[in-house]
This record gives sequence, C-alpha cells and structure tokens, in this order.
Amino acid sequence: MDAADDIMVRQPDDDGDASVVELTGEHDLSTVVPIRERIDTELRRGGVVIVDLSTTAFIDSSILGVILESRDAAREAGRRFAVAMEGGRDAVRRVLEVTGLLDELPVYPTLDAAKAALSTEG
Amino acid sequence: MSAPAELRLVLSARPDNLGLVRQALAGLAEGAELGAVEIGDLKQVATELCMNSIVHGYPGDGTADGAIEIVAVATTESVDLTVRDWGTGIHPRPAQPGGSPRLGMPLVAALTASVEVSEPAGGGTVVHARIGRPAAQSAAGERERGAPSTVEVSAGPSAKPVIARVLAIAATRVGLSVDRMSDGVLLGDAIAAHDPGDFANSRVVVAIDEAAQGLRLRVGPFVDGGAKRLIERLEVPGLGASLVGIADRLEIEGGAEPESNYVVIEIAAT
Repeated sequence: MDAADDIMVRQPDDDGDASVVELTGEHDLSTVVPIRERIDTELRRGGVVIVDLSTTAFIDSSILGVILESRDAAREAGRRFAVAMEGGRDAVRRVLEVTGLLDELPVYPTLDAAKAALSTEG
Repeated sequence: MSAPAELRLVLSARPDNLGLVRQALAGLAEGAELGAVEIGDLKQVATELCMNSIVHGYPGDGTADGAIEIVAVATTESVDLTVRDWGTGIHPRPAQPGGSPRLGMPLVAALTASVEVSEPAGGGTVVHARIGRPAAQSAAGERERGAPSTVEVSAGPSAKPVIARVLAIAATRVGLSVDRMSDGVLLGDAIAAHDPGDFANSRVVVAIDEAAQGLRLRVGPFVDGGAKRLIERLEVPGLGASLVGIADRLEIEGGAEPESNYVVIEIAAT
C-alpha cells in the first residue's frame, strides 16, 4: 500500500472547523516526509491543525519528532496545533507515555476535546 | 522449557524495510508466546535501532548500499535482540539547531531491561538489547537508585555520542521532561567536545548520580585550569545562549593535588 493511503487529511468544513491529519496504520521513517508535508500544508493554510492518532497502530521516534517540530512551527507562526487520540492503540499510548509527550504535547482524549481546547486558545 | 526461537534477518538499510523487521520480529515473539506489551516493545526497540543504523550508520540520501543484520533469540520471558550495521560507527553527529530532540535512544533505554552499544572489529555498530525480563544476574543484582554510574571514554570524537547516549538513558530513568533531557544532552555534547588535552590522561570520566530530583554529573579529572576552561567554553559564544544557564548547579570541585579537579553539574527534573 502506498504510504499516502495511511495519511488522511480532512479539511475544514463550512463551520471553519480544524484540519485533521489522521494517521492510520504504522508510521516510521519511511513515512516521515509525506506526513511532514501534509501537516506543513495544513499549517500554511492558516487554520487549526489536529493530528489524530486514534487509528494509528505504530509510531517511532521520527514521527514523534515531526509532531514536535510541527507544534513548534505552529507556535512560531501563531497557528494552533494539537494531537488527539480517541481510544488509540496501547503501543502508541505507551510510546507517548514513556517519552512524556502524552502530557507535554498535550494529547487530547477526543477530537472534540482538541477542537474545544484550540478554540479557547484563539 | 522449550528451546529459544531464533531469527536472523539481513536487509538493505532502507526505511521501507522497517515494517518488514517489525512484522518478522512480532511473528517470532508471538510464536514464543511473549505478552502483548513485550511484543510492542520489541517492535519499537527494533525500529529505533534499525533507524539509527539507516540514519547514522549510513548517512546520506538513503540510497547507500549498506546492510543491517538483525538477530533475535526469543524465550517465553524475553527477547535478546542484536542489531548490527557496517556503517560509519559511533561518531559525533552534526549539531541540529532547532532540530528534533533525540528521542530514539531514550525510548530504547526505557523499553529494555538492558542495552549495550559497541563498535566491533571490522567497523560499524552493534547494539544488544534485552526486552522483557532481565537476565538472571541482572535481576539478582538490580541496582538501587542513588548508586552513581560511571562512564569512562577516550576524550575526543568518540566521547560525544557515548556521553550523549548515556546521559539520555539516565535522563529517561529519572523521568526528566523532554526539554530537560535535551538540555542534558546539550551539556553532554559540550563536555565531550571540550579540548581532550584538558582531561587528565585524555580520558573523560563522568559519574552520573540519578536521583528523584534530577541528574548530578561529576566530570573530570581535569589538568590544571582545565575545569575552569570547560566552564568558560560552556558560555558557547555565538549561539546567543549560555549552557551554564541550563544547569541548576555548576561548580568546580577539587583538591590541591594535581589533576584532582572535577566539574559538578546538576540538572533538576523540572
């Protein structure tokens, strides 16, 4: 399967909702570039960007690096950025816990929670 | 107990082989009836170690004709994993201003019962990691927090990656945040990059004391004036920031004897 099939972007609807970059399946160094490009594209659009890890089966430290870079880039550009994980796989949660990113990012338990948090930031 | 199950893979050092490694190892571990957590940790550790080989062992555009060998021996309680490459070996990495924090090795350290990095004769890097229950001798002699670890390495180019990795592992074990961990690695890089001639016998000895409050490093011994020069260098002119400010405590400790000066650095957990 093409890596791009596992990176889905839902762009804002008429209500001005967030762009959601959903990572499904397993992601590692082999998908770093397309993930970074998708997130960068959405950040450049100027809206709110949420990375959704709810259906992600695996991420490695290169993907964590992209998420952290994106958060920092969003901050610098005055954009709003969040990570959501509704349910989520134990392996992904464990990686986020072990690295301390579950709290540091932070990771919201639902997409709606992430959107609500970002709306209050604005 | 049944005989351990073994697996050996030799693959091109390419990112698109990482998924293959994970699936093969998961199959081995499932066959050995390891638990879901151990299988997840095995996949994570193997991916991180193979990625290290791809990115750092064979640096470039990813088309280098390098190989990675993965050997795994699984029992019902643990997996001994060895990842080897024939690349450039352990060497200083270029600075990455604004780059990602180095999360890979801390992650490996956190998910393994033990991990050892070495440079074999013939070049490259070998990493041995155990996932699951620690080896019997390790379990019996489990170290208590508070007993300092000591790292001794030749001053010069090989010191940087060794100190950075050891500090990252220690930082993970004491629960430093990612930002504080990055601070610790920056300090370690600066220490390792210091003039080898300032270290007594051209060897860097770092005693790492892990406490709930953070890390305490005792670096040295230095030749006369060497400790003072290290601290001056930590001012990093040109970067616009002082590494001295990263440390919560930074001072010279030593006696009147020649080559008995040390630099003590404390990095608080928060």
